[in-house]
This record gives sequence, structure tokens and C-alpha cells, in this order.
Amino acid sequence: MTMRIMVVEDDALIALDIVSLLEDMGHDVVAEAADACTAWELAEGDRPDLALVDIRLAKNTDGGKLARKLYDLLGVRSLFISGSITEDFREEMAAINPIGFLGKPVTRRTLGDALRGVTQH
Amino acid sequence: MARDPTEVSGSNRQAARERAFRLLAGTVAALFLAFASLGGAFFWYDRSAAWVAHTHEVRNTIADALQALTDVESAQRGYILTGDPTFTRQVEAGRAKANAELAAVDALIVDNPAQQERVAELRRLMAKRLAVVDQTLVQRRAGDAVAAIRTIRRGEGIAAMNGVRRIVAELEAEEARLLVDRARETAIIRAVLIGLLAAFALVLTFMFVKAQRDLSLDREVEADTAERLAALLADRTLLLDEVNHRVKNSLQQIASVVRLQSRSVTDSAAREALEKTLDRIMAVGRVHEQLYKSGGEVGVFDAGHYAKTLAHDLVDSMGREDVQLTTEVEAHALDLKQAVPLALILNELVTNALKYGCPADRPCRIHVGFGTDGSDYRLSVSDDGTGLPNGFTPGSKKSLGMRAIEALARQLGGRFVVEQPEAGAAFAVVFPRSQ
Repeated sequence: MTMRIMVVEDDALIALDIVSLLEDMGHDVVAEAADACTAWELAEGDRPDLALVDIRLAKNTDGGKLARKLYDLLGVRSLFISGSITEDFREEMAAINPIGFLGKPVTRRTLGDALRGVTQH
Repeated sequence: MARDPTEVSGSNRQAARERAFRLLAGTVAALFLAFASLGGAFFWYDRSAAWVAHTHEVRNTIADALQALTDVESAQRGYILTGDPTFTRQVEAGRAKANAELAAVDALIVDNPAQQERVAELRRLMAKRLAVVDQTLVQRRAGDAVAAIRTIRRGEGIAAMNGVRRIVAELEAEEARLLVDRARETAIIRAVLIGLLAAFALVLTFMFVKAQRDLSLDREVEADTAERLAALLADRTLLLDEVNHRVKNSLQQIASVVRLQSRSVTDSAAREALEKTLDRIMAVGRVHEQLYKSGGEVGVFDAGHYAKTLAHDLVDSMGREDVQLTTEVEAHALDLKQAVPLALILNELVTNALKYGCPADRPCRIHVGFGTDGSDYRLSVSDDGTGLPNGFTPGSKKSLGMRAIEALARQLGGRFVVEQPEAGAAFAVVFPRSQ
């Protein structure tokens, strides 16, 4: 099933890599953003099915807060991708029903596995 | 500039300990001194009190001597009036008593020359008095009561007795004066003693209060130290999290660049090389991840667990349902220096087994083992594929993978072993448990 996905990642090359992987899997990447504010504006217009969210974003913005807003106001679930995912963060985010937490470095397989759960719904 | 908290609290603790030691030494010295002076003062008081008692005794003995002499006079008068011999016996008893008391007084005032002179005079007068008494008794016994009365009337005896009373009064006066002196001295010593006791109690109270204050100071220092250490630990954890985050992000950046590059090349050999590179990066990335996770204990690398996970990841990433992977691993915590070489070796061996042992059209089995072998560790990977070409040696085929495995095995202080199974291919790396 093709999904409309937003990628929020502040590192340009990592973002490009993730977008390529998603497109290889047959998904549509409808929006890309490096910081939470831009991401929110794009999400309001494009209404993606889900968001891939890095926790630490550009301009010192917080991926966790963005994900909360996306879920609370737009009903968009998030898949977190980060180098540091703590237990505290997992517990904090449990309430917004995240798709999952993916540690860096991401491989084709780990990303595919994480998204498989959603496409099967 | 921030000071090192451990150093600061350490010197605080040291100072606190030194203070406590000085306090203890001071307390012991003060207690010893106070005890010694109390003992001295008490001894002094005891002696002084003994002198007061002595003076009382002297006075009593003098009074007894005078009383005995007076008794002698009474008995003398009784005998002269009645002639009853009972009175002569009373005279003798009185004389003996008077002499005994006089001897006792003499012994008691041996320290006082002025009193000794008076006692000598007293002895002379008493002897004279008793001599007159004896003379009257002899006259009366002879039946001449008139002569006896005449002797009395001559007045020598009375004069001697008056002398006795005068000397006794002098002795008394001197002893009374001594008693006043000694009683005053005793009172002073008593006051000193009470003062010392009070000072002793004060010192003890002061020491107690000071010890209490020092203890609470020490507790404060301890609490402070604990706080600083907690802050230091929190800083360290934060720093470690940050470093971990950066390492993972950097690995992701490298992996992303390589993956993007491999996507853009059209040459299949170049793409394969880049894919291999990506696998190697990921193998190192997994080492880092496991080092950091390991059930919360940072820096522990479980080689068995790693081998199992990596092998499954590699086989799964091929997306081949017809490759059956079996593992037989023991959990061993390896030195961190051994982690990355072992990870890369395993990556090469499993990748090779998948590529050469399990060609796309052929289902196969791969086995990965890790465990101890005598004093060595042994990592083995085997497949049931077509096997190696005849005369294969690692050096003969100069692929990067084989050269890398040999080099990494040397880095581990071990060796690369190409085994000769009946079917398929089998490789192992054997390296010592500790380098």
C-alpha cells in the first residue's frame, strides 16, 4: 500500500537517503522539512498519512513536540528516527501512539520493518 | 573556572577528619589534666581535714588529762575525809590516766616546738601536784589527817594545779588558733575542689557541644559531597548520551552517503562494492549500539549475542526465504579492542557464505558458532554450498574480504583457519581470550 509520508530530518544527506529508501519501497514523500515549524506548516497543507521524525531538529526545535502536535491536531502518527532514543522519551511519547522508534543508522530493512506494521493496518 | 568537586570535597573531608582528631586529642588531654588536678586537690583536702581532726584530738586529750588530774584531787579529798582505801585506788587510776593522756599529748604535738615546751612545763607541774597529793595520802594513811590538811593548806598543791590550769589554757588557746587556721584552709581547699569540679563539668559540656557541632558539620560536608558527585555523574551521563548521539548520527551520515552513491552508480561491480562497504559500516554501527545498550551497562560487548544478531540481520537483509541460519553461541564479554575486528570478520564471513555458498538459485544452510576453545575464542562460519575451489588458500585469491579477515585475525592476535569439510565451506578465526 502506498502511503503519503512526510520526512522531518535536519541533515540533508540523511534526509535524501531516507526519501530514496521510501521511494524504493513505493511510498510517496509529500513533504520534507528540517525544522519543526516548517514541518508543521507543510503538514497542515499536505496532510500526510504519517511522519518520519528526527528528535533533534534544525533551529533547536524538538521532534517530540512536533509529533505531539501532529497527532493531537491532525491525527498524524509518527515514526521516530534518532541517534538517541531514551526510555524516558519512549514513555513520554506513548500517549501519542507512535508507529515506532528507529535507532540510527537506519538500514533498508529496519525502515521497511517499521513501516510494514502500518501498511498492514 | 569550576573547581574539581571531588578534590574540593576530598579536602573538606580531610580537614573534618583532622579537626575531629584534634578534638579527640584535646579531650583526652583535658580529661587527663582535670582528673589529675581533681585527684591532687582531693588528696590535699583529705590532708587538711586530717589536720583539723588532729587538732580536735589534741584538745580532747589535753582536756582528758586535766579531767584525770581533777579526778585525782577529788579522790584525795575523799580519802583524807573518810580513810576509805577505795579512794587511794581512784587516785592511782587517775594518776595513770593523767600520765597516759599527757604522753599522748606529747606524741600528738611532736611537730610543734612551742607546744612541746608547754607540755614539758605541764609535766613538771603535774608531777609536783601529784607529789603533794602523795604526801597527804601518806600522812592520812598514818592516821594523821590534821597533818594532811596542814600540808594542803600550805598551798603548794593548789599553786601547782593553778599552774596546770594556766598551761592547759595556753595549750588550748594555741590549738584553738591552729584549728581556726586549719578549718579556714580546709574551707578554701573545698572551694577549690568544687571550682575544679565545676570547671571539669564545663569542659566536658564544651567538648560534647563541640563534638556535636563537628559531627553535624561533617554530615553537611558529606551531604555536599554526595550532591557534587551526583551532579558530576549527571554531567557525565549527559556527555555520554551526547557522544553516543553524535556517533550514531555520524554513522548514519556515512551510511546515507554510501547508499546514495551506490544508488547512483550504474556499474554493478561498483554498486556491489558500495553495498559491501555499507554492510561493513553497519557492522561497526551495531557494535556501537550494543556497547551502548548492553542492559544499561556501558562498554560491555557480548560477542555471542552480537554474532547471533548480526548473522540474522545479514541473512534477513538478503530477503532469501531459502537460506536457513543456525547459530550456536556462548555469551562472552570481550575486550572493547576486540569488538570491532571481530564484528568486521563476522560480517565478511557471513557475506561470503551468502554470496558463494548460497547462490541465488540454490537453497542452503549457514551455521555461525562462537565459543571458547581451550584458552582461545573460536568464531566459525560454515555453509553447505558447493565448497571452495581446489587448492584454495586465503592468500591465493586477493579479494579485499579475505585479506581483511587475515589482517583482522592478526590484529586479534589469532589466526584465520580454512577448514576442509566434506561438503560446503567452513572458516574459523581463533584468537586468544586475553591479549
